Amino acid sequence: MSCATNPRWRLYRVGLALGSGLFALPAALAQQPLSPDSVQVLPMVRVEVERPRQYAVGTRVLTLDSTTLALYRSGSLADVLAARTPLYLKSYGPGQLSSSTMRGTSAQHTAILWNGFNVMLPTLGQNDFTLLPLSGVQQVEVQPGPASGLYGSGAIGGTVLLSSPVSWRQGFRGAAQIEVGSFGLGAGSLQAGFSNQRLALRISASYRAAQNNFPYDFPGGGRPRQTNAAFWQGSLAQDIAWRVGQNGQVQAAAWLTKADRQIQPAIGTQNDHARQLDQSTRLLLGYEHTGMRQQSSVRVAWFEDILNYATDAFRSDSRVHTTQAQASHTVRLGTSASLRLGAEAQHFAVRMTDYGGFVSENRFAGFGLLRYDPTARLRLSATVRQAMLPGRQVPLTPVLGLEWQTLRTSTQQLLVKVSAARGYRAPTLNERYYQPGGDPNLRPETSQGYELGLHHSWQAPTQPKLTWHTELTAYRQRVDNWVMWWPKPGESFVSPRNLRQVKTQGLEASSSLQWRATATFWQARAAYAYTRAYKSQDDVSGATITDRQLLYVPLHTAALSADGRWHRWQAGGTATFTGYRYTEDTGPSFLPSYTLLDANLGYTWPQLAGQPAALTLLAQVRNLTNQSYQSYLYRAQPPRAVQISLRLTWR
Amino acid sequence: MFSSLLNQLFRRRIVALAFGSALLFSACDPDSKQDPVPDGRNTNVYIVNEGNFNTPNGSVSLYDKISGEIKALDVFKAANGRELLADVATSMTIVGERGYIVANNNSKIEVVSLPDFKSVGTIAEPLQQPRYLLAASADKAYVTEWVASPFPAAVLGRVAVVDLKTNKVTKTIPVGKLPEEMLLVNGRLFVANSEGNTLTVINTATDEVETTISVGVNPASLVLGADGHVWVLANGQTDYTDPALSVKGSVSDFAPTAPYTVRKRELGFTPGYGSRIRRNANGTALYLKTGNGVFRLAPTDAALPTTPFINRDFYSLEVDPDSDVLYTGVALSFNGPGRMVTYQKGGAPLDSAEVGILPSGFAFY
Repeated sequence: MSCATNPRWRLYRVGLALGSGLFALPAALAQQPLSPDSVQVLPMVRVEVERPRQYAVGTRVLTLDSTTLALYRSGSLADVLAARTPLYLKSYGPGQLSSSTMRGTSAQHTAILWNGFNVMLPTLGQNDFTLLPLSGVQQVEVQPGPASGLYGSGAIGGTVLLSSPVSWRQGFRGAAQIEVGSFGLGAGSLQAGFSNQRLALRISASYRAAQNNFPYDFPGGGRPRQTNAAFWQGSLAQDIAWRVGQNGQVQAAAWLTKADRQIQPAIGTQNDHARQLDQSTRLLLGYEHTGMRQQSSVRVAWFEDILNYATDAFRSDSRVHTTQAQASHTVRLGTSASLRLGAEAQHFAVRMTDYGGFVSENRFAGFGLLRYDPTARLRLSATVRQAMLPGRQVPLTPVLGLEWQTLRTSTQQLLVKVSAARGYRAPTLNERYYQPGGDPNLRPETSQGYELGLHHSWQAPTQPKLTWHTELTAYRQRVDNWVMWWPKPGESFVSPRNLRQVKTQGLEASSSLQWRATATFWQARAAYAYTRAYKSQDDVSGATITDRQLLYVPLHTAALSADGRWHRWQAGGTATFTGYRYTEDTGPSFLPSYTLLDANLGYTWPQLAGQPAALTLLAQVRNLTNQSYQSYLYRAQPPRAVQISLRLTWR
Repeated sequence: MFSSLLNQLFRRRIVALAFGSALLFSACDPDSKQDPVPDGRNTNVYIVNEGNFNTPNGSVSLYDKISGEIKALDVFKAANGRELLADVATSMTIVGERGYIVANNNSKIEVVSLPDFKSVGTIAEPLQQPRYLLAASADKAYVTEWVASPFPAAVLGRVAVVDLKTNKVTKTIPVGKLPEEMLLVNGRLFVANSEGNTLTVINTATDEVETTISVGVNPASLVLGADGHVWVLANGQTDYTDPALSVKGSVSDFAPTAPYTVRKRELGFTPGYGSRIRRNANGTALYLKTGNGVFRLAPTDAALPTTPFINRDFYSLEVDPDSDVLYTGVALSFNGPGRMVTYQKGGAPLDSAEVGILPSGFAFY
């Protein structure tokens, strides 16, 4: 995780420096010195299409780079976020249900975008982070805070951006990996890619399965083995980019994920043989036309999400089809500004037993994004989005940002970041149509937040190269019309209601130090988050307003990591701390804090048989100190576990 | 020079974070307060808190009538040093110096001695989704069971006969679907089959089904009135998609001797799932706890009441046989404690206290 430099910035600057097919922001943005390695890995001659992130000035962004992702290649988004960031993930166990809380908000308040399209399950309005295997994506960025002006519905507490940036002129590349581990873990993956100057192809396939029959501490004594927690999951992803003529580019992507999981029962409950099948098909097709001062883009996506859940006594099947289209036109204004106008349409069609049949819904949004860099040291952005939901008014959601470089010397720079934004979340299909209880008249949730950040970077004037980035962000946020499922007076079922207003304030601090020499690479990172979240209004009769911390929001979280490479050896470790979390709105119940340690050690044989191939053997230990802990109430987590992987890479 | 200073600062910070974090932050955890183990006087009210479905956080709170205080939010944990681990704690029945706490969704009955609340055993296999326990004598009890069948097969209920000396099930008797509460009168056990419209009658001398009695739709509870009749509340059926299709509830009563001639009178509304009929100590006042409020009637009334006695939707209601005080449970939230509210028999509020999640029943010791 780099809280500081976003590789995208570098990428874009390199393109600019090479003076090519230019559709980009001005050279004034090329502030940070380029590192030699980033030039090496970016042999591109044309700047890629700008993504909405380019208009997100002044906000904090955590980028999980390829080095970090490599260690979790056979795992999921949940694994890497839990180990490498101070985000708190509520998790039932390995391979089991897992959801996030960003800046004190709920699981439905994190938008997840895949190549710019929202992939949140429209029925639940959230994602299970375990169902997003990392083999299917090349880059993960996390942007905390509301930003619906950029990312649409759900970007209330934060946004996770999954993407696979195109690399041109790479020739053929491939990798194969197998992995075995404790408690019946087995995983494997294959990746292959080819690119020249006109065509870039990438395909990846992976699977992961485990028995998860680990022993755990039973309250009151005993150490039984976990039952009904086995899973199998697979992913198949393909990305194609094709340059058409001088100015056109076609993009196509497909991502298929499937998971067949037993759902781990709560400790002490009867095994009801809960089983869940999740299957998602995601297809995307886009065309971009890039001129000297203008760019047009049209993209369509089609998703199918199947979620079938069954226990001994219950069964619920759902199948959702989502069709989305985005169109935008970008104009470069003078040398220092760029404006994008666009529109988006979404169509949801659901067949679900709990809706009593078939339901469909359309949503629309129009947006404008402006980026303006008045001087070499000042970047400004302003975006605005107006969503149209069936029968409901959504307020205008702007995002305003500023970045000002207050200090710049040959070795260091200091950046001040300020942003203010609104977010909204359209009611989910469950909230509107679930029977019994669904309420078609539910209002959308809205949020507004402000953040102020300082980003300091320093770089040694001499070799070997030593760099240090530190970022400190303070924020405040308010969520209105927060939806809770509540017992409806006079009924035995629960209904969603716009009950609460929740306020959050916090601090996020991170620092990373990197040292790079010819045969040695070393990097250490520390990140800490203080999150204070409480309800400030509650419309439930008889509810009391106190400043009590919201349930499942830890006040303190921290993540530390160190990774190094020395000739053919690599080693690393992470430590994550999760503070205590209340498990009820009031009253004394809480889950105690815990610290988890992971470590890894690897060795690489380069140039196998004189070929451009390498073999890496990597051993990883999770929960090194054998902690007995719970992330979610009464869900057992595994003790110390070992994973060993063998990876063969070509070029 | 500047860089070495920064490096130093950085290193110190890393070290502090790395090695201090566990201690530093763990120290911030709230105290795990242990409630005192109750000494026990014959003034204890036990509040059963259902907890969340599929989560073993059902609990029992202890309220002391003399001081008017909750003595222990989780009396089982306080007395035993471990959790009750009840997944949907449905009911608690007191038989002599024993308390029987029924955990519906993990199919067990925890047996505690009173008043110290120490665990003395469990009744488990072959129970399937037990709901209520009723003692026929000091040695023998009946337990209604929902019995989970593999989906989508029909759920057929049964009644288990339990030997309270050994805590073993000695016999099971098939009854209707989703049997809930029972009533024992004159050697006959009347079982309310809450899906359907019947009561099953079991002869407790032979533990055989004698007959079934037709009452209103979805009866779940029944009491003996001062008139010697069995009074049954049928909860009706709520249609969630079209309220016009909902089935209204009814009150039936009959003399507990064959041929069980039933007088059935319809209510003007659907009481809904979870509705119950209760009585005061001598059966001269009957209470209907419904989704539309609490209604009161006397067995001798010519007509059913149409306006609520207490216009509030309770999660549970029991009447203290010593004082006729009404104990009600209010389900404030699925994520947090509910409340217990007591009312004088005239309906005036008395006291209120925070209890556990979803207070579903009361037992008086």
